[in-house]
Amino acid sequence: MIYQQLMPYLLLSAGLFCIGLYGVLERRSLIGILIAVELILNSANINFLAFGRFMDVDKAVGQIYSIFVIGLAAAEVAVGLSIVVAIYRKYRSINIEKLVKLKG
Amino acid sequence: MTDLNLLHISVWANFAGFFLATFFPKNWVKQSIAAAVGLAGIGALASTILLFRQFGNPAPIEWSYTWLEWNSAKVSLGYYLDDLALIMLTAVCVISFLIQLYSVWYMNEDPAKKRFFATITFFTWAMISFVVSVNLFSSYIYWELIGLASYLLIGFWHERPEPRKAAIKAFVMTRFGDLGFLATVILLLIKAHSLDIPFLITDAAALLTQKELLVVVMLLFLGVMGKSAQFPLYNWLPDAMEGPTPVSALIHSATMVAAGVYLLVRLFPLIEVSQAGMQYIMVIGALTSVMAAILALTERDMKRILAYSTVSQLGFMVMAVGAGTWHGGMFHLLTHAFFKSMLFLLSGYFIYAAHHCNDIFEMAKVPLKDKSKLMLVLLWIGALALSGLFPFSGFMSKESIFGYLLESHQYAVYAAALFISFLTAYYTTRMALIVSKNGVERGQTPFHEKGSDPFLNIALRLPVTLLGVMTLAGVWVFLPWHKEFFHIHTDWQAEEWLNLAITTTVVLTGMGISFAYFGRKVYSEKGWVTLVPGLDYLISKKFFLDDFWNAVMDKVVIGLANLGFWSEAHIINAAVNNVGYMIVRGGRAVSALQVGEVQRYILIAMLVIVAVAVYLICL
Repeated sequence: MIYQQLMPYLLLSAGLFCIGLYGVLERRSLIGILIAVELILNSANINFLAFGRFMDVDKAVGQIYSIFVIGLAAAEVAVGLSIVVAIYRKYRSINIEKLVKLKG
Repeated sequence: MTDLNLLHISVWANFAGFFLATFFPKNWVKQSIAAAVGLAGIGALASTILLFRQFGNPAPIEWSYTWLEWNSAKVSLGYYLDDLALIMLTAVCVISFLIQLYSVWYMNEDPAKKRFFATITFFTWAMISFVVSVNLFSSYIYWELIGLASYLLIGFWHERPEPRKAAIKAFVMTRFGDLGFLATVILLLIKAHSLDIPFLITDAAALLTQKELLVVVMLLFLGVMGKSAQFPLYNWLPDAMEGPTPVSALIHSATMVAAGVYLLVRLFPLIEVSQAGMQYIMVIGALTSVMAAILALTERDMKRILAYSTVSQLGFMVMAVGAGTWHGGMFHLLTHAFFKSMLFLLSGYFIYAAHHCNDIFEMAKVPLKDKSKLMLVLLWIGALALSGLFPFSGFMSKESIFGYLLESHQYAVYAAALFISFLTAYYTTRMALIVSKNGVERGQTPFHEKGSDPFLNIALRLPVTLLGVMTLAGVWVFLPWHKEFFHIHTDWQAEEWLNLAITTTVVLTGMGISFAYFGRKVYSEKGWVTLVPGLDYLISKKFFLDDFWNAVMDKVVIGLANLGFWSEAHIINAAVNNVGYMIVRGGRAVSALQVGEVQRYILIAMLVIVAVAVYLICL
């Protein structure tokens, strides 16, 4: 359904952000963390679109911001995955608990 | 040669002797002794000349150098020499010189005699400076110095354990009393704003309330109790006999222990305002005198008899001062100094004659032909003076005290003094009788005197002879000069004759009983003491005073020391260490934040952002 107020969309965005944050903090696999980061980015996207629809600006503003964010997310994932591959080559594991070199 | 110059000489001559005897090279022994004794002689001469020139002069010699000053109070070093200080100064100088001369004979074979002469001149200098001191604070400094010298001299033969223990016992007990003296100095500084003795004896009494004055008197008397061996701080004195005999003669009969009595007499105008204080002083003096006299009744060691006798006579002097007669107390102090030091020097001779044994019954075994006639005569002169028989000096000074007590109607004290006199006469005669017995034991090797060296002979005989002459004739020869100072009245009324009769009867009774027990061929050891139930036991336990102080040391002093040790280890050290531990632990706790777990970092970052956001929203 399409709501006529801003608040539900902001709540959805907040909820997605929290789920993504939880995933960043809790996932043990590097790829799981990257997926959670994607969730966070998507929540930001929803925020942009919601504000774009309900604020007194040109209708296209929110949507253009969103497209930029999607593009940036793609680029960031590409870089992130190449780092993950490099890590795997060195440490034979992508479990973040095994990637700690500090002994404090 | 002005009078002040003479005073400087008599004060500093002994210091010069000490300095030279200390810093001369180790093998200059003869030179050190010559320097020490020679300079002591010069000091004695200077003080005697000063006495003849200055005594009776109503204007005292004052000289001071201000050392510290704040508000109106001053701490200064210097001299205040009125008649009292002058007569004490001369007595100390002359007696010290004679005893140092005697020590030349006594310490002749001791390998450490250079140290002895250095220490004994140090003591003499400190004692003289104490006597002429102008400021109570410098009096305190010299008071402590004479305590130090006493420690060094009692423990002179430190290779043996008994002198070491005796020296520590003396020092700790007198030091305990010195707390009282220090408290007095502080109190007087606060309340009277001045420590100058001329001021203290004239105007200071008006500045303190009766209560404050009582506290001052009692604290001052605590110092006197320590130094002058009053109850309950007297039991260091018999043990101090472990030191060489000249030390016992000088310090523990004539000078150091008299310093406490001198201090009381010096500050008498301040003390006599407090009636309760005077009563307290008198009671303690009387108690000490009686206790010590009882302890001397069955003693076998000659030096210990004399030591208890000294304690008893000091108590007698203190009692006199407490009863109100400072001139009687001072008179007795001076006569006592002369005949007691002579008796000690003689004991040194008799101990030598009995092959270095202190026991009077061993001395009794030595045949009369091996004991010097001169020494025996002097022994009896000293004994009779101590007993207080006419015409010896001890009689005059005791009469002065008895007369005053009768005049001021203090009959209880008079009775106590008579009892003490009776006991004194008894035990002194006992000692003299037994020492001068003609031994008939076989196998005693004849005693050869060290008389081969004429100089040593003089060193032995001259001091005791001079002291004996003073004991016999000193009071009478100088009577016209010191009559007024000691309040001696020569016009006797009926009361004075009655007093003479009573005291002479008491003394003769004591002597008579002593002759009855000890004068015969077969004599007892303990006399009538065995007749009183329990007395012998009490005496052998020394009234449990030694046990008491040992218990105090063990429980209180060592307990406090242990408490201090424990608290230092567990509280102070622990606090310091714990600061360190806590820093380390804190560091470890903080380092747990930096473990390299990225997710933890992100969590912390998010929490901080939330906190800041909430804060900004609430603003």
